[in-house]
Amino acid sequence: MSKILVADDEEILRMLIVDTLEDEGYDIDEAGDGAEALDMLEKGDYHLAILDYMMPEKTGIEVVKNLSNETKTKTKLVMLTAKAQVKDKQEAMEAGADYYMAKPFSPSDLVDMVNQAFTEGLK
Amino acid sequence: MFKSIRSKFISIAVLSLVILTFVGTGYYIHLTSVLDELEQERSEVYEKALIVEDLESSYNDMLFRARGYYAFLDENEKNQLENRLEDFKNHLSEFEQVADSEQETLLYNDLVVFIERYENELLPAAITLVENENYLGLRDLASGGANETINQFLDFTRANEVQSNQRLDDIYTESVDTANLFTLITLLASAGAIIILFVIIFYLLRDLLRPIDDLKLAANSLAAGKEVYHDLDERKDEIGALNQSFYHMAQAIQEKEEELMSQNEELQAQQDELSDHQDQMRYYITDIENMKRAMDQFSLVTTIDENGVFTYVNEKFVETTDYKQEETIGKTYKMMLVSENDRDFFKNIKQQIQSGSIWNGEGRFSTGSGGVIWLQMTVVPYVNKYGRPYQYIAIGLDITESKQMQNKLKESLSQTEKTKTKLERYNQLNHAMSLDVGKENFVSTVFSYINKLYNFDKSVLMLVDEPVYRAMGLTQKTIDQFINTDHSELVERLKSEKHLTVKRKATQAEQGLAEEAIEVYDYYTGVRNANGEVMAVLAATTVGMPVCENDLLELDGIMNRVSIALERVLIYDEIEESRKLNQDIINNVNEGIQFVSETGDMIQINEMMCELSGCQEWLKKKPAAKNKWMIAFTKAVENREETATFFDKCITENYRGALNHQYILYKNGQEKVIDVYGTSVFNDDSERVGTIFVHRDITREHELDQMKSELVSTVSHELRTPLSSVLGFTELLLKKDLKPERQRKYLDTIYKEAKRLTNLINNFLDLQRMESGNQKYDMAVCSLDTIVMDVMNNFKHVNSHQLSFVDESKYVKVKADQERLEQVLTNLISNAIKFSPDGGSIKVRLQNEENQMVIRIEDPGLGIPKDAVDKLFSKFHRIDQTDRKKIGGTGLGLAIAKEIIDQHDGSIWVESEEGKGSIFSVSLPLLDGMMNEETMQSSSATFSPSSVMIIEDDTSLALLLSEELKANGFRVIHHYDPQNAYDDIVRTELTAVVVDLMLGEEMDGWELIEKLKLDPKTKDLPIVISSALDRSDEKVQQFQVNEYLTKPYPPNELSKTLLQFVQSQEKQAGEVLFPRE
Repeated sequence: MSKILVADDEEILRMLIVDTLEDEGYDIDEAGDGAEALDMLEKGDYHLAILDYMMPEKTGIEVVKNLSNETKTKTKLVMLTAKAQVKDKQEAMEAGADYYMAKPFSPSDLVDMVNQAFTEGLK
Repeated sequence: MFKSIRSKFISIAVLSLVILTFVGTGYYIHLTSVLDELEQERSEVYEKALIVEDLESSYNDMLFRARGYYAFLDENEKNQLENRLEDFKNHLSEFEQVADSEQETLLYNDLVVFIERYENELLPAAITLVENENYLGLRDLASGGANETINQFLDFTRANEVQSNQRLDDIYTESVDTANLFTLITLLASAGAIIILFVIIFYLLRDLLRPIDDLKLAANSLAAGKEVYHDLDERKDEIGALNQSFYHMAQAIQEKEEELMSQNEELQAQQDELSDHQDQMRYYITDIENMKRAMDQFSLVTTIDENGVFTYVNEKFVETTDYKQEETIGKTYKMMLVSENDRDFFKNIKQQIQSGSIWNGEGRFSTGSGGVIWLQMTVVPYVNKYGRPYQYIAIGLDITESKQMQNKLKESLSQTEKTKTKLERYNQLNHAMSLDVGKENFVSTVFSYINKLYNFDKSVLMLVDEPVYRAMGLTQKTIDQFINTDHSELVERLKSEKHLTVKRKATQAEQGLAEEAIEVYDYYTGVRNANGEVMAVLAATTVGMPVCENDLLELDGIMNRVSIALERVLIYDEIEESRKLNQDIINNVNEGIQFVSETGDMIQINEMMCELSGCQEWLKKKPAAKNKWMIAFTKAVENREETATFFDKCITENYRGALNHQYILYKNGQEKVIDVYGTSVFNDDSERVGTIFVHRDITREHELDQMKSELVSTVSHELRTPLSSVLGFTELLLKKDLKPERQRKYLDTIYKEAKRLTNLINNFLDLQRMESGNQKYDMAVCSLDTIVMDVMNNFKHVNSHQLSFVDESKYVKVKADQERLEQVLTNLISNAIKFSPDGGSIKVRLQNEENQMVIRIEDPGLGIPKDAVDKLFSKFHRIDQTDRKKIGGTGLGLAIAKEIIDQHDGSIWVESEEGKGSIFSVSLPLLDGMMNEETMQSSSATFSPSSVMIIEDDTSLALLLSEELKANGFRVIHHYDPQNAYDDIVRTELTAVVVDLMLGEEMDGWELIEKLKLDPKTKDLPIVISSALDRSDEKVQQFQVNEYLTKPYPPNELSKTLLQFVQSQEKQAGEVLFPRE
């Protein structure tokens, strides 16, 4: 199980993430807004989800908050945000995100983070 | 009522006796009668019994004789029988007498019947029978009936005997019972009599003995001298009378005793009084002696006879007057006259005392040593029985010294009076001066005061540094002259000299009627302050008489006083002025200022504070207690408790610096953000005197702040997103070996994103420029249709929406900065695209409206909520709407657009319906051709609804054709993309379509024409080809193209062609027109 869900309304950014992670050999699904992401997470079987904070329908935080406990435990959650303020990170973590990444980010950092999430998950 | 004991007892005894006698007699009579009755009854019974017995025996005899006869037939017997029969009859009649019961009566009747039958029937029958010796008949006769009555009679007699005996027994018993009862009653009566006797004795003892005891006690008590109480007088009998008498006696004794006692006391008192009098007399004598001694000690005592000759003088007289006794006695009082003037004085005395009354008064007398003494004198005349004085006694007290003292005192008193008046005047001046506020009043008061004191003929009082003065006795001209003269020299002199006096000759006016030359004196004096500088000058003139030196000195004194007061007035004025200035400053400061005492009571508040706190008048007027103003202030505050705590903290603690706090105030339904700082106020001695609070309305700043932080957040997001792409893809490009297509794709993306960034940054810069007012507008006359066309040209590649330009304008010239206007239109069109996420037709419409050029951009997009419309054009505003979140933007576009359009004297607005789309309109003032009603009319007359669509990607050519067609009254719709054009043609009613053959990559003109011709709805639409390509007849034929114009061609050719279409629309529909060449 190495599926990843990438949720971001910005198509270009999604492309960036998908391209980067696909090169690393991950299997990736995409979602264009919060509601779609929530739906996919609950129905699918993802090890990791990368959620943009600012999304239509539901923000990343809202998605995290609305996830079932089952999904929360099985899926690692990465919050991606363009507002690099401390309180945003705090909010994300409090809502239940496992990782936090601020825009703009380096693709290699993202890869590192995803790799780490997967090894941690294997332990 | 008097009730004698004796009569009472007698009456009781008599009554008892009478009752006993009556009852005894009655009872006795009754008893006797009962016994008599019994006795009678007994004798009756007895008698009856005897009769019955007799009757029986007579009967038995009779029967015995009868039988004897029967047996023996003896005649004797027969006679006997007849006797006995007679006896029986007698006894029977006796029985009749006593037969009282019914039975006895019946029996009697039976016996009578029987005896008669026996005598008349039976006996003769029997005799006959006997005589006949018929014994058988006799037997029958004996057994027939007669025997029954006999037997009955015998039974009766037997029963009567028993009954009589019984009755006799009963009577006896009854008699015995009655006797016994009598005995008993007699016994009881005797007992009753004894009891009554006892009761009478008991009462007798009680009524007699007890009062006697009481009397004995009372008598003892009287003997012991105690009060005798009168407590037996309720009795009306002899005892009562005795008691009464005893009481009266006791009272009489007591009264007498008291009288004696009081007489005794009176005597005692008289005796005491007498002895008192005696004592007093003794005291008087001693007193008089003492008085005489004392009088001799202090007073001069003389006796003078009726002629005024001294008869006695005492030691003191000799001592005081220096006349010896022998020198005075025998001489008249006249020797002591000081001068002849005193004669009248003595005459007066003489007159008074000769009339017999005492004279009292002071007088002066000569002494033996030739001096004068003052005496306080009393002269008492001794009057004889005719009322004439025969001697006088004169008593004198030496008051020479006190007289002298008195004179001295009088002198000093008048001196004091003078000083007092002066002081009073000073006081008045001081008082007046201390009351005056303001220089004018002050000068006026002082001036009138000085003139009241001194009789100056003319005078002026003026302040040195200020044009304040008062004058008297001078013409305005003279005053002006004097005031305006330079006084520096005079002032300089007055600094060192207290006053100056100038003596001069009178002027003509001053001379007046006087013939002799009059001298005039001018005085100058100054009011100097503590530093010796002259603050005011008094100039005064007296004509003829100089002012005395004393007055001048006094004037100097007054001037000193005035100087102090004047200084105060000047300082006060200064302070008042600066206080007013301060208050004005405070009131005009745009911040609420509030000063509270160290206990927190409010002392001062400025206008602004009043306004902020909802200004209650009481807050302004007087110091308000802490909790009062605090409640009033925090009433409408949202964070009330926090604010109150802040106030408390500032009031109670010392702060060299300032404490800050913000609160939100609701005022007139608006929310205001107030920033307040409090700082302690210290006086020069570093003592805290209170706290000052400064309240500042920072609502605007606060809003701006919030907007800015929102903006920063938005901007951050907007910048970071494209930046992420740029950085991310660059990193991928740098670090990875990628296929060329991917590299290309990434580079494209990077380029696009970088451009987006640039746009954003440009927007910010624009806004920044505009906000700071640095934006320069390069205004020039330009054609709006050109501008629209140019802008739309940039959207050529938009495939998601059908963009078209509908040009309905006639006049297009405006004065504008073309670049900025393009920016606005670009923004509006890109907004229209952005906010119509489902695609659709976006129309840009150009119209003329009453001196205005109006551009409308219509989209079928999301629309704008009503409540958001107002804020739409404000800076930093983005509509919070879920649908819009995915649509990026800075929230600056419309603000910038509005700013630009405002600079063009135009306006921008929006009409929108949520979910259906929006129409953004921009209007600009028209430059060419004032469009009045007339031109509007004419233009609308020539303006036919005929619309022509031009599908042309060459903007300039499209414009050229558009101009020509519009000039001919056509409405022109522009399209660039044949596909979009097709979609639009299907929906729109058109006169004709003008098509360029060389269009976009996907579809060329011929394809469009083919499509139109194949569609039954559009196959009849006239088509004009406008192309640079050479005419292809084949295709023209094939598609029935109506006209083929080869570029370049004069524009009017097109219009002519099109006008032909219009004219022949009906009949020639769908016909292909060939070019005329």
